[in-house]
Amino acid sequence: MKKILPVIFLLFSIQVHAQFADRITDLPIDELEDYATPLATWTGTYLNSGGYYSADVSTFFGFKLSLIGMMIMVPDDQTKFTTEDGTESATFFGDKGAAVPGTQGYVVYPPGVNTTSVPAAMPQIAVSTLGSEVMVRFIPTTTLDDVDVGMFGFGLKHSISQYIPLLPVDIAVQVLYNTVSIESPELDMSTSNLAFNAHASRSFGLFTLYGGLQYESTSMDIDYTFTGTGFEGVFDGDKLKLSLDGDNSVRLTLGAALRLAVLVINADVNIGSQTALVAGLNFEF
Amino acid sequence: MKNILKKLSFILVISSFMLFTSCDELSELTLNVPLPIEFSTSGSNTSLSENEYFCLSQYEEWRDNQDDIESAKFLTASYWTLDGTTPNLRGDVSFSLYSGGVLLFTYNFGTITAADYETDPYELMLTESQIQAFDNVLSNLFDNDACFTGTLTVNNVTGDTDISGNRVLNGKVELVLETEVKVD
Repeated sequence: MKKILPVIFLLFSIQVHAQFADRITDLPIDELEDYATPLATWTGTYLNSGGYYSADVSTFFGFKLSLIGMMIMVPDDQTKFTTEDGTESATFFGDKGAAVPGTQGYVVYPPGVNTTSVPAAMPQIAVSTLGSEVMVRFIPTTTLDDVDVGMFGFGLKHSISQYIPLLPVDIAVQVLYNTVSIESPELDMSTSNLAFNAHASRSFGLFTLYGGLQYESTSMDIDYTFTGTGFEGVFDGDKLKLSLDGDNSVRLTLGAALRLAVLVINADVNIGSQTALVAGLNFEF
Repeated sequence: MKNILKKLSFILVISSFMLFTSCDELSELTLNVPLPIEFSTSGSNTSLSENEYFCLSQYEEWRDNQDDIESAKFLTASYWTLDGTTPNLRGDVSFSLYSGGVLLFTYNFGTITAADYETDPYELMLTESQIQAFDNVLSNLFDNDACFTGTLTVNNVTGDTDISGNRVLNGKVELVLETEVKVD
């Protein structure tokens, strides 16, 4: 169990020792859902970012290799939740876990990582032709100790403005799908992230301004063996499955890009349940 | 072009690595460590008392993090009555905590009926000076360990007796410590 959170954090670019990992499986489904929902939201914010910096799609042949870095801001109200007895306790991003007197002793809740600004990065590759683009993100299943981690994502984008002559801006629509799976002997976790956006851009010489509106959803499944005590209806050793949705649903993206020959540097702000500041270094031709 | 691609790929991989390893590093976590102390006291007199000697290192949660604990302080404490207590037991209950034979504090519950606290605990509302006395010991640990003696006392006991003519009180006081644990 102590290995699972370091892997999650490694994957999501935070380094942490997981002294609190044991406590997570002490929580029954309802409490774990409250604890983990901000993490699901963060996962969706992370994986559904950086999908575009222009609505211009090549009709002949295009290629992009990108490194996307971002800083995701977790709002304060996602750092704590209220336990069944009304006590406040940390979520995954919060600080201190609560100690709540139960029927047989104290129920001790896990602490969080006590951070509200979380950096992350991801590489991606895309090819385009005939006004459509295919983007791929991929981390092959890797075993770290006894934990298997894998990630796969793809995006499909299609130019709309190619059908509308003399339009002053480029317009495109895009669908993104990303999945991450983490499997360990004590806990399996997987997330599916789906996003659909419409975006527009306009170039002014070397500069491009872009923006878009995106609908997105994140679902997270956690399978684990309950190890806690003091909760009604659930016992030590029970196999539990939690399915939860992230709070991310709609985001507004506004950004700008600078083209320097085959290099494009872009930056945008994504306003949603969690705000993400995204920067990209792109090799494109 | 192939050479450019190769160099760009290298830059991307290195940049990714730097981002992945230079981000906020968590240096410590706040972990709450529960220390349950169980008492079983019986007798036919009107006073019952039981001592329990315990060390922090006997608790798995503490032991698992012992080398990394940077500080510890008292957070909260409660009392539960356990199975096997004779019916209708009532009396003046107190809990005392000693360290090295020195009394740190005595907390008086007042007169209570044991059965009232079988599932809903009695919370020990320690005073600032009582907490300070306990915290002073916790802030001067040797090898991140310390041993204590807890004493549960019931005076003016009334209630039913068992077939041996004794009154039995099985109870648990659980102390919770808030610890700062260094992240490896």
